[in-house]
Amino acid sequence: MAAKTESPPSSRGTNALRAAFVLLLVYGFLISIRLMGGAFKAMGSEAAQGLYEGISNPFAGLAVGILATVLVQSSSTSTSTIVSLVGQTGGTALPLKTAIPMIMGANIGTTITNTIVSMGHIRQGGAFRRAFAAATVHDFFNLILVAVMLPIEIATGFLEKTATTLSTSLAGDSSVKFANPVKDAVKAGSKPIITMLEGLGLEGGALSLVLIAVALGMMAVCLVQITKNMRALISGKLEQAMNRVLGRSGLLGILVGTILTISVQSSSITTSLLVPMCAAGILSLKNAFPIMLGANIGTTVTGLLASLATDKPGGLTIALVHTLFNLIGVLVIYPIPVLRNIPIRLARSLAIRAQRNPLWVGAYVLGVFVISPLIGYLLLRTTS
Amino acid sequence: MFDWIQNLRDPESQDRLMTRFQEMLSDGRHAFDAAVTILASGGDPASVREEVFKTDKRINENEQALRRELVVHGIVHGTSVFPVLLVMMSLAKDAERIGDYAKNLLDLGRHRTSLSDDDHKVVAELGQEASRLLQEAASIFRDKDEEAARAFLEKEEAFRRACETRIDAWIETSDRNCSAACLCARFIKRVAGHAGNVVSSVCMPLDKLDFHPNGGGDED
Repeated sequence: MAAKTESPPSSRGTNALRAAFVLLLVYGFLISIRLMGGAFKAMGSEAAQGLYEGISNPFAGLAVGILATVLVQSSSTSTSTIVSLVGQTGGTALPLKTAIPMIMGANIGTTITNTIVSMGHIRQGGAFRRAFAAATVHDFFNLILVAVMLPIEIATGFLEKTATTLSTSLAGDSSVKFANPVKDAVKAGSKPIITMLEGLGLEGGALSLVLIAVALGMMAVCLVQITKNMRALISGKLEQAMNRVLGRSGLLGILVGTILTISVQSSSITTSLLVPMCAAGILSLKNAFPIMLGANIGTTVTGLLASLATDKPGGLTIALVHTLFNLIGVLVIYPIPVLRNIPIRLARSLAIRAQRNPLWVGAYVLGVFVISPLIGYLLLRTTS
Repeated sequence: MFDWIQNLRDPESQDRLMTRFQEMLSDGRHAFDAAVTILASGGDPASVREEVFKTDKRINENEQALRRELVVHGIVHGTSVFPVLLVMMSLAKDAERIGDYAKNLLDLGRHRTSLSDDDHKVVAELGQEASRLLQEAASIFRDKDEEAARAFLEKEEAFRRACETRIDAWIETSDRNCSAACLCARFIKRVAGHAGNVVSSVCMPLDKLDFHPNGGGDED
């Protein structure tokens, strides 16, 4: 038997420092959420509502959600921005109805990352076929989920009503500002930045633009660093979890995907680890699929975290919409083998075509993530 | 000390991978001992066949699991662990081959009537020495003792030369069919060679894995 290897004290010290740094980054992330809210307040309610008006059509909102997430390559950034906008007080708040399709769009947009990762195997024949299928099974699941849930939501408002009921019971009535100590601490951190910018003579639209830039920059840096440091902190556990889940399917995979994604605050990290494992043939598509579904659920925690920094329960409501949407999707689709196999079959079929002709890859990526949403947005925005 | 094993990033991963590898070595020695004992005693190979094949299956399963875990380790930790993954892949193959040679030796039991009493004695001696080398290799690998590794490689080379000398003697001086005896010695020599390959990883860099510090090594 090999002697048990213990972490050296220096490694434990580094980990403690890293954990403290992550907490600081979470605080920075929450400040960026407040700054984003401040930016829209500075813009004024008329200008903000004018912006939202253009995406009042649910399909335009969906398209914006996809495009914004593809652009920033992070659903955490796009959903947190949406949470910050919905969770504002006054006339600058993004209406919940408009935000719901945007959140669904962010769910689709985020899957482009692992599709890009799979393209690294493009010259490797069978390995590329397996990698591309693993990447696109996530896309197909999210596309099917939106295709089913968005019309139901438009017709019934089911997600909006359920999430509102839940957030009201958790944070109180939407007509009152809900107070929490985290929000107060975040406010104390964001106020000096806004005051400093105002001190530079910025106001109105100019202040709003600078604040949006600062908030987005800060959000991106904090999220990237949280992901990077958490990945380093839990890499051992990450490896153990992946080893444990190899060759198994179902609930354990969903659980592992959820926990890993909550830990690293990025579904792309979880799913991008699965793609090379599938390419190497050590993880089957059938077994990778539940882990990806878990990642879908786990990634919604970022929005819930962001809602801590917002003024109104609306922030929490839209974050809960995101969680419910993904949770319901997994609960409805995964347990029924016929439904579960649809995204798997579609992904396999596309991967076979992509292996034969790489033009399929370009057509698929551009078509789903760029051209379709862009055309949809332009058409529906002008007709709304 | 050429301590490449430290390149495995996580202490728990190190433990898990090393434990699995040590199990492979230990199982290899167990299967080898069972095969050599039955050959040297002139007994019926069928009596240990199930045990040897079951052990070899366990070795193969461990090798596959080790490979999967190495791929996961590489994907999680990135390209910096690439060299250690190559070393472990190579070592896993060495450990796996020991199980295969145990089965080969057992297969030679079909020709046990062609082995004389003297041949049985030689096979027993060579087998016992190779078994000792296997045990020592596992221990040197576990302790990562570079000095002991260098000494071991000299001993292992001398043992392989002794096997060759024995084979030459059988071929050149014997007036009977000594194919089974030669193959026995040849397989035992290969087992010692794989033990040497494992130990070479303690004191040699990646490109010189399976070779000896003095330039000799795995000529087969």
